[in-house]
Amino acid sequence: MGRVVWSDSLGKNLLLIAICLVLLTHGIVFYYTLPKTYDAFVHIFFADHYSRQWFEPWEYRWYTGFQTISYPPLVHQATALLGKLFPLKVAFCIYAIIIYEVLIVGVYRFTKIFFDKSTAGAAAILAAVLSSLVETMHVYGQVPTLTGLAFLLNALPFLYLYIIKKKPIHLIMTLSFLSVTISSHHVTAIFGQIFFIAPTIFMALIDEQNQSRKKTSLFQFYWGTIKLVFSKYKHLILLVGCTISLAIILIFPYWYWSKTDPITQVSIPHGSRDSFLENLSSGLVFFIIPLALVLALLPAISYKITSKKRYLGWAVSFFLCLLLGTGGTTPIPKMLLGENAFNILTLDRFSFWASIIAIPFMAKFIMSFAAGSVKKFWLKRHSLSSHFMLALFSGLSYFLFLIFIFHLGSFRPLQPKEIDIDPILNFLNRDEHMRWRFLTLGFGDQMAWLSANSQAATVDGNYHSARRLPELTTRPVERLENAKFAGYDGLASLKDFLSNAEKYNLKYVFSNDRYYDPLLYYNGWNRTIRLENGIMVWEKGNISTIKPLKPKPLPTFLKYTWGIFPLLSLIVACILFIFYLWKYKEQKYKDIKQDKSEDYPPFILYSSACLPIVFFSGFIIFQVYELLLVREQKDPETAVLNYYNHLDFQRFDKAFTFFEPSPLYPLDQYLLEKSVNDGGLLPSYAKLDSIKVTEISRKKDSAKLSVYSRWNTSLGFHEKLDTMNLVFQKKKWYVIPKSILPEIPDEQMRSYTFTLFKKQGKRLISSFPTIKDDRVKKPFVNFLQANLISNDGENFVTGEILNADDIPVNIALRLSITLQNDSTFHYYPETNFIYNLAPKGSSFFQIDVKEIQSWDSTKIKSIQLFAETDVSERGYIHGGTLGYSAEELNSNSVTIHSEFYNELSTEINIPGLLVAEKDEKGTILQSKLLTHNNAVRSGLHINFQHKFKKIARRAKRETLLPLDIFVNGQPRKLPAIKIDNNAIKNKGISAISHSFISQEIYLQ
Amino acid sequence: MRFFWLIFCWQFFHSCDHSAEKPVWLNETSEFIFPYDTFHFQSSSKDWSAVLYSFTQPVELTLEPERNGFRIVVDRNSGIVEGPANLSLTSGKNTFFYAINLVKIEDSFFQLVDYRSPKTVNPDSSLQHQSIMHKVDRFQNLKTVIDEKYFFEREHSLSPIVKTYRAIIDKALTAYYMQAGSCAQIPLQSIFDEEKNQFNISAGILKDKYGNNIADGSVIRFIYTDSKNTYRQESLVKKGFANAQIPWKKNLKFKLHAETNNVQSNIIELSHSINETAKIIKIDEVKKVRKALVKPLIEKQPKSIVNQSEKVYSKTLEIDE
Repeated sequence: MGRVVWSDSLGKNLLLIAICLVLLTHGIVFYYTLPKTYDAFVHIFFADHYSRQWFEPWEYRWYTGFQTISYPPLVHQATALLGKLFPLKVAFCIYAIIIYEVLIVGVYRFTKIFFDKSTAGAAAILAAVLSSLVETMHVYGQVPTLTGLAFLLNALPFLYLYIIKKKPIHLIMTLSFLSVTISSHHVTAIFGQIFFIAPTIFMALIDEQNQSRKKTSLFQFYWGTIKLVFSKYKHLILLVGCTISLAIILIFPYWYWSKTDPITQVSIPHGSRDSFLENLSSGLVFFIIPLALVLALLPAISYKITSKKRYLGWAVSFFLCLLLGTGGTTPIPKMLLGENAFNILTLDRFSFWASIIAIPFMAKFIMSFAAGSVKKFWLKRHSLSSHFMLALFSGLSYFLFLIFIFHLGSFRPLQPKEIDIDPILNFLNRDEHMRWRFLTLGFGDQMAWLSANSQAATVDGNYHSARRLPELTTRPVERLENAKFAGYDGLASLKDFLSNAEKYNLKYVFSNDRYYDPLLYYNGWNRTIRLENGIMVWEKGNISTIKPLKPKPLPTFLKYTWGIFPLLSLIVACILFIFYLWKYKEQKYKDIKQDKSEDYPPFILYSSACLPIVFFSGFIIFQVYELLLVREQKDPETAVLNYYNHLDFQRFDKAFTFFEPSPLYPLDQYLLEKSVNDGGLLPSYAKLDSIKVTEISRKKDSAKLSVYSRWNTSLGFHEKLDTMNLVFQKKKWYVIPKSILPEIPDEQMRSYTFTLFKKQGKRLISSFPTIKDDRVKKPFVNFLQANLISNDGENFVTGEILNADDIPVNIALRLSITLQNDSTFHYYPETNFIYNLAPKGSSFFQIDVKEIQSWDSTKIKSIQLFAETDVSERGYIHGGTLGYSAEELNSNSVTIHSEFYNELSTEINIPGLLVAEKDEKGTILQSKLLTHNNAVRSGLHINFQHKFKKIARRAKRETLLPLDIFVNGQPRKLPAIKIDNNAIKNKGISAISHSFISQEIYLQ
Repeated sequence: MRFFWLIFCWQFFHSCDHSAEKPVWLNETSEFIFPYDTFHFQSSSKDWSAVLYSFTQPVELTLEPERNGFRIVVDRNSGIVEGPANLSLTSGKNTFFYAINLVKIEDSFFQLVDYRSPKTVNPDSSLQHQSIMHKVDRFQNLKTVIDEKYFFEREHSLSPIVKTYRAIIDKALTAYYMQAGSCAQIPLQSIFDEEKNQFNISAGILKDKYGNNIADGSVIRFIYTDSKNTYRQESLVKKGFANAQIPWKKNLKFKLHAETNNVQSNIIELSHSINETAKIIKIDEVKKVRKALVKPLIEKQPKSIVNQSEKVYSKTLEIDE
């Protein structure tokens, strides 16, 4: 009796310690880790939605509008309610901490159906420091998952008791807690049935059967269980029926949405589906970290979970979750889940559930090791001090491991640095900027935080299941704002939005990553202002304001159920729980057959006792080795790879250490030479995509290597071939720096006269739209030529347009093709056009036509080319004197030799030329943008060459179909095409400068 | 008994509560010129309230008692707009309506609006200009401009002189703009700059067909070719001139022309040979020679519009001449 009281008391004390521990650790830390999590801001955004419009599920701010019924609302609504008292971020933290406490209680109660209260108390403490829970909260910010799990674990003891005792109160309590799970996280509710509820029922049935205490054969045992299931069919049907009914009723709008508006998103790659052997980084984040302690104690868990028949269901669940959690490492998860489910689900959640199932068994072993049979066994064979030291260092190494997880974001940056959003909010609030949509680039999940604080709309969003825009759903792109990480598809998707901005009323881009600068510039975007927080605002002219959108209709009744039922489920669960404690709470789970055995075979005991210290110490040592001790220059190839790695991450001081040490070549000299020679598309606006090092020759102390590198730029992939010489000195391989002969300009000081324009904007200070006297007229432009061209199945419209006005102009070109069935397609020039033109400046253009197979007059009703103009005060200087000549390679291609002379007073970051191929009459057959990888400094020259494929022999100009042209809505006629003698001289090639200049902000 | 007495009293006082008499209209006209006009009414009762109902919100008016009645004044000068209205007089349960016409008094304060269309005119297209004039008072009521007309429209034939004009003298917001047309011809000249070893190219003065300097910031493309390459250098016009510098290259001759807006200059040839003996010439002498050569060229610039003789301006300058 005394032991039972002590055990009860110890268990509760440990629970209290766990609760305090959560408050002191997670409670303090979460506010600071929240901004770096993946999902926290998304949930805050949803909470903000409910705080603004509780009963209206239409959210207009993302993806041109979506329904919030696409995600169970309880967490968001509860946060929104707390948000009435606290700022939303604080409210979300408070809610998360409360849920973590509920989860601790849930783990305690969940463990009690397996073992005694002391073990349950230990399990509660374990839950407070369990790596999977820490990661879910502090790295992922998945509070709905935690909410669902917290209430699911709390429901399981009631479910167990209901099966054993068949009392209605237990059924009611089970259902009330499950209701909260359903209302907060649908995935936990669905998979919880399989991995948690089914094993609980199975264990209860076996426990009831074991009450007879008769020894039976395995067949008799299973036969008895089956008979028991049939004998309890009424209770089970009632349970299943009520659970399904609740699942349907509580979040019916969600099911309604799933059915009426099914997800069409193609699979988005996720690290949890990678092969962890091939991608160690994914393995670390999605398998090793959440399962660290589970893997370390796997022998003890495996032994215990398979030692009793009552754990059989849990054993199946545990090993199945563990297996599914391995992602694409083996083909088994894909076979089990099927291709479709495998590509939709994030498989790390299975590892997470495995770790939760393992908690009672881990706690059991830890308790046994700390003060039970394992300790006794150890002391019999070894000293007390060895036991103490083992416990101490295991615990210490685990806590170091935990600290590593808390700071995972610092070691392996998951998010960009925190952005102060106030300047962006001020920008959106003034001058009616909110009347257009915006897009963020390089914000990470902070884009959701920006949205949560603003009423402005963005075309992007951070909840993939809700998006329906074909440009997003047809490509495996997580978000537009981090398109560069999605490779070709990501950039193609982003390009669609940037060139087709009018369709989405997209006028502003907030860029936190200069990687996208070339893409923005060459798609006709202009830099407007750099905000106080360093964010560059890009703007596109000629974009109309957002039209009123009609939300997808949803019955009013459903809107009200969505607003009431989920929160009601939480309130009812809380009331019922208090009522239960007051009226029905029993001292202990009567009739539960708690497992009190603590015996572990010696092998299991030794391995489980020693593995944690080996595992966690090994992990820490590996991390330290990777950070400090890895030999980056052990051989020529490794040295070159690491050198490029440092260059890619702009760690120039590190890269310098790879050069052969010499007093004549200090860091200062390297940086100076770099500043003189470097810069441009590859050094400044690219990420290293792949690299291949080939050894050309090698001697004992020297080597020559060929380095092929492929760089991912926003304008596409660029390749580079380089040769490097290395020497071996003091057990390290060093790169011999290349000697450079920089061009030296004659002048010491350069001057250049710019003509700058400034649009006054509103001259009357009024928040009302500008009155007519204050409006600036639309500048006029002339089409010099426009041609329908077809070439080998490809069709496009080419031409030339001139700014005929006296002010700089921004031109939006749009080609509209209407078919005989009245369907209309719109096309834009993308990068094959100079969008901003100085007065009397002109540009070639080419608009590719994708869907139309041929210029077939029987299918095409009309072809219209529209030019809309707007005053532009930036972007009309395109830099440098361009010299070029064309050398014929064969009948279909030429080499264009280009020479840039930079007479400007600033560096030209990306020297580029817009090339037009003309026939002998001067008709433009095609137009293409060609760029060079390196910058050209002021007063210097740069030479480069491009191979250019000519189409003059095959291309055909379509003259039967009429091409109607319009300037600012007014029809215009085309003048006669002029012969271009310079093009004739250069094998039909004509070129104009189209360069990107980053430094002089007022120019572009 | 007491009950009957109460009923009697109530009947008595109720019979005394007779309908109010309609106040007598004492005004000559139903036009109400505000804010200075007043309406006079004759009435034995003084217990009236007046409300003005127009197509905007109702306005409560002030009553001032007179010997035989009362007068109504408007003590606010906003929220009242010209047009038909009803004046209501209420006393107890009785309300009487008088149809009136609200007229704003002709005071000296009014605002003249002269809207010009198009606001920006370019002699390339048309010099016709539409002017719509109207007058509004401080309450934004339209006032007649000329001959009882509320709008006055007229066409102007503008002078093709580049300038910012104002439709109303002291109001910047009414400004309209005559911009330069496109360039009529491109005079082109070149000087070799000995100090910087480059050709200084100057296109100008660039004027439209009316003699206006073409707009600042207009792009002039200098296109020059050597035996191999074609070069394009762009320059922006400032005060009628566009300049470019072409670095000298040994043994190379350039053929240069300038173009803008489909207008092309004559082609001139750029060449220069540097004589090594120049090194031993005294600096004073070099300066003298350069001064003598450069000065006449600048002086001749205006003439170049008329006479675009290639020979005059494609002069090859030799230091040792």
